[in-house]
Amino acid sequence: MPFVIAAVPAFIGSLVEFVEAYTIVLAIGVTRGWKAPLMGAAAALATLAVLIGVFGLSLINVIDEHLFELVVGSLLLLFGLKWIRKAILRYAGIVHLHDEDLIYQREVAELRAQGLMPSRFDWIGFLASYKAMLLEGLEVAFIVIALGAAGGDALMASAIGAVAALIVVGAAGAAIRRPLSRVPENTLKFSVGAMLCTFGVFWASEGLGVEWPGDALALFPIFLGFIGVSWALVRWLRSAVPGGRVLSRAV
Amino acid sequence: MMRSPASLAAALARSVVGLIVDDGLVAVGALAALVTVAGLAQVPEGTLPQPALGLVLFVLVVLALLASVAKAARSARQETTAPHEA
Repeated sequence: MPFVIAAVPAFIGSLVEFVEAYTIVLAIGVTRGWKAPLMGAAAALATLAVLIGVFGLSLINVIDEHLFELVVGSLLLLFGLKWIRKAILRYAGIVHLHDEDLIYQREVAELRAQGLMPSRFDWIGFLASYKAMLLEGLEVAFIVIALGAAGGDALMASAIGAVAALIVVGAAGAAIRRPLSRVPENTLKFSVGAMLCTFGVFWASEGLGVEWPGDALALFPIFLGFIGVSWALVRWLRSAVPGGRVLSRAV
Repeated sequence: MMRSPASLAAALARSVVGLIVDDGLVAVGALAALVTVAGLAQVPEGTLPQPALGLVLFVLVVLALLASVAKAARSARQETTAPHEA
């Protein structure tokens, strides 16, 4: 059970982020060749592995348990609220849905405009791929470390979830060589956002000394509460802003 | 152009905060909820049942989310009624 609690949200959350990173790496590979972007992506993954190893293990081993639960719970809560809020606004049509096809076309056009010097190593392709994988992967690293905070095998479980997501996205991408636009990113983001909020409320309150009835079993009603409230907010937004109105700036 | 260590640190701090927060209202609301529950947790034992504190945190967090989403809805409605100001 603890393995599943850490691995499943890590898998789903990482899947969303790796799909977004894959779109950029694919655009670079198709327009400029594959060697540099694959090396850039591999370098970024190595950087992320070091970050997870250093911060994950040191945080778990060094900080007092209650303080750690409070800090990690608070960060998970903020991060989860960010995801679920964005997913709610996307469902309601107030923020654009993430369009992998559109992002791919835009990246390809930008990269073609920058040209290529075939005789040299393609540093533009390497750095663009490294940056994309690192930026998307930082959220993965955060999720893995936070979900691994329960101690014991939790860090290993969340890392396995993230690696499994990387393998699934890599295999699917290698097979179809097109943006993975059919992945229901917003639905995944909505559910992971609710999961992260759930862990955030549970751990932060435990860090403050609150004892939940049934201990970890309390996670389920909290999760259902977040899903129910969030879905009610989507319904309300659809009636309050009929037909949606995509905001011209970030909200 | 070389960036000063201070501006580099500021950019790094903005990136880290941006990783976790994209709307100040929901973040401040969630932090206020945590501070409130931390305060209530100091009340002498027996005055407040422990599970109630968890429920208080959940409700306050939901209120922060509601406020943030309502703000976005208001912005969307304003852009609908005054599209040229967007």
